[in-house]
Amino acid sequence: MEPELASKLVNGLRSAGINFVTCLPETRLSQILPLMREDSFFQLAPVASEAEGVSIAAGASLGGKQVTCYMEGTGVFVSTYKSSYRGRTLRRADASFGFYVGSVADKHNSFHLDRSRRSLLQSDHRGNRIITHRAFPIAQPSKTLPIPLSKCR
Amino acid sequence: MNRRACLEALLPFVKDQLVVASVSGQWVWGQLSKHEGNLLLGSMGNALGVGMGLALGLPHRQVIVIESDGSVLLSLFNLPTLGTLHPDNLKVFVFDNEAYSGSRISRPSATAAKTDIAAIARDSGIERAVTVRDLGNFNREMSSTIKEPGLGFVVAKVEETFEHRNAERSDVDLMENKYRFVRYVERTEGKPIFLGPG
Repeated sequence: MEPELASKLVNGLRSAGINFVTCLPETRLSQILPLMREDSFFQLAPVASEAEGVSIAAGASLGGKQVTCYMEGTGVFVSTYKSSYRGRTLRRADASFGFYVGSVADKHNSFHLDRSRRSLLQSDHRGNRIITHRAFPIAQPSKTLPIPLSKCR
Repeated sequence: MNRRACLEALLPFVKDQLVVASVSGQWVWGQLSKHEGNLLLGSMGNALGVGMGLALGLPHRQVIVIESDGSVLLSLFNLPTLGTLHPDNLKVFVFDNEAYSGSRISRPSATAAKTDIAAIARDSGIERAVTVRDLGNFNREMSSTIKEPGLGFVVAKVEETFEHRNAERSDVDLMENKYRFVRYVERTEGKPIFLGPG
């Protein structure tokens, strides 16, 4: 990732008021983590599983933090149970996921392509707000990509 | 030792703390305590994570988590994360009856065999993780864990009881409980958390 893009992403999170980020580093967006680590505006919570990243963010949001869960697209699949629960029971309008969507969309990059995509849609329907970023050109994107890229709702 | 006796002992120590209970603990705790700072989750594998998030988000506030062996085993990855992040204001009580009691067929959990949750916690960096097997020791460890600063982790070996199967369920909906909880946090922290639309 170009340093300029990493900086742009971090500034975007900051201007959105996001001040608590759970993260499990993936390859292509990892450059944003040192930037957030050096910025006292952000409280970073490194986790061992995307699933617990969702739970920890849910707790922090109930305590008043503006949260996001940073993960690779396949992490959506891993965290389906937690995100489904969070959306259903701990519904928060400002809870969101931020991740690189290439692994969901790119057939060459995800073993869990269809499952992740379904999980993502399910999370959306459960009341979680989805933020996606496309950081790199996708070589062969799926023709049935169901989510708008670079769109924040 | 049974879970109800332990929770009855914990009750007078809860003043303005935030209490997060997983599904098995919430039935008894919900009956015993009407504290507005109770967050009853209604699911397994979430209480420790949510409690961790609360403790990290409100580092000046004591957070108590009421967990069970099945719930902790479901999200075992929480322990290394807890040991790493190490929120000093978090107090965890795991009631370990060595069984999946809610399943109604009471199959033994891994803790009935060789798995030692407190040992896993200690090796994950939670230095003050202990196992207690009788009410006297529970009272002693619970009291010092609540009163003394630092991350606390108490595993209470309890007998399997079946009262939760017949216990009267709370008339408070989980969503209602969440709003009551958040309004309590807002009031006691003096800051808005849930804002209306627009």
